[in-house]
Amino acid sequence: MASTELTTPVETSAPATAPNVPPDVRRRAVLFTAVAGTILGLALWPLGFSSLWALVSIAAFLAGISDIGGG
Amino acid sequence: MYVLSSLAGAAALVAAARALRLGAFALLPADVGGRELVVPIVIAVSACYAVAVIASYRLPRLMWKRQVPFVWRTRFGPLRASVAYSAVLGAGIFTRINSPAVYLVPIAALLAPSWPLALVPGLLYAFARASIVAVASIAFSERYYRDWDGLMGWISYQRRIWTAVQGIVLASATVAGLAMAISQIGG
Repeated sequence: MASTELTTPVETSAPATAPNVPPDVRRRAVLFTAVAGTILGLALWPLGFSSLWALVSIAAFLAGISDIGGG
Repeated sequence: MYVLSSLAGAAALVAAARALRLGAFALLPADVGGRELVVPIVIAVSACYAVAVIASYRLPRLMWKRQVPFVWRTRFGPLRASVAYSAVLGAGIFTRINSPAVYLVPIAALLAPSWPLALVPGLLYAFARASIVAVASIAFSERYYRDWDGLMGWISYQRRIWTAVQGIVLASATVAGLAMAISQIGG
């Protein structure tokens, strides 16, 4: 494949999260995210502004990674 | 070249946000609202919105619902077009947004106390986005033709995993930002 195939825009109309996930699985995923996020956030906030910025930067990096396959 | 172009796009977005910040501070007093309080609150609210967008299908995703111009490919040729696409995609906000954490990039650029801190999230996003696409386009070049459906399924699975991890990090940023703001008010 020419390297431009994946580097050119791909229409991705589907949301990043799958709409066909069963509701109970979805609820558990949301709960897990909230609990894990709260624990991690409370563990890191005493480190101050640098920890907040590190989280923002990691989130931005993960946003880039999850765009695998094109825009 | 593709990755460098993406980094340039992100740097241009950050520069635009910093110019906006300079203009705003020229009009407002430098200590308006107390920056130690305002920055964590705005980051927390933005991160909370991003994680809510991941969790809910009903919440609107703020974005320009468009792709980079397909006509560039015929106008510029494959190589120059991919560099131009990369610059636009590296900026993140000018095309469809798949990953809600992108919302934090321009906000962080606007609020960061220094230029290096403003650049870090934007450049990390642009580097990751361009690198993963460039690596995938080389690594899966054969499979793209042989097993397109399987490849798209694998990509979709990877997106779900990384979006879930992104959700946890965004939730952490929400909690850490709120905790910082509350501690500022309290102490």
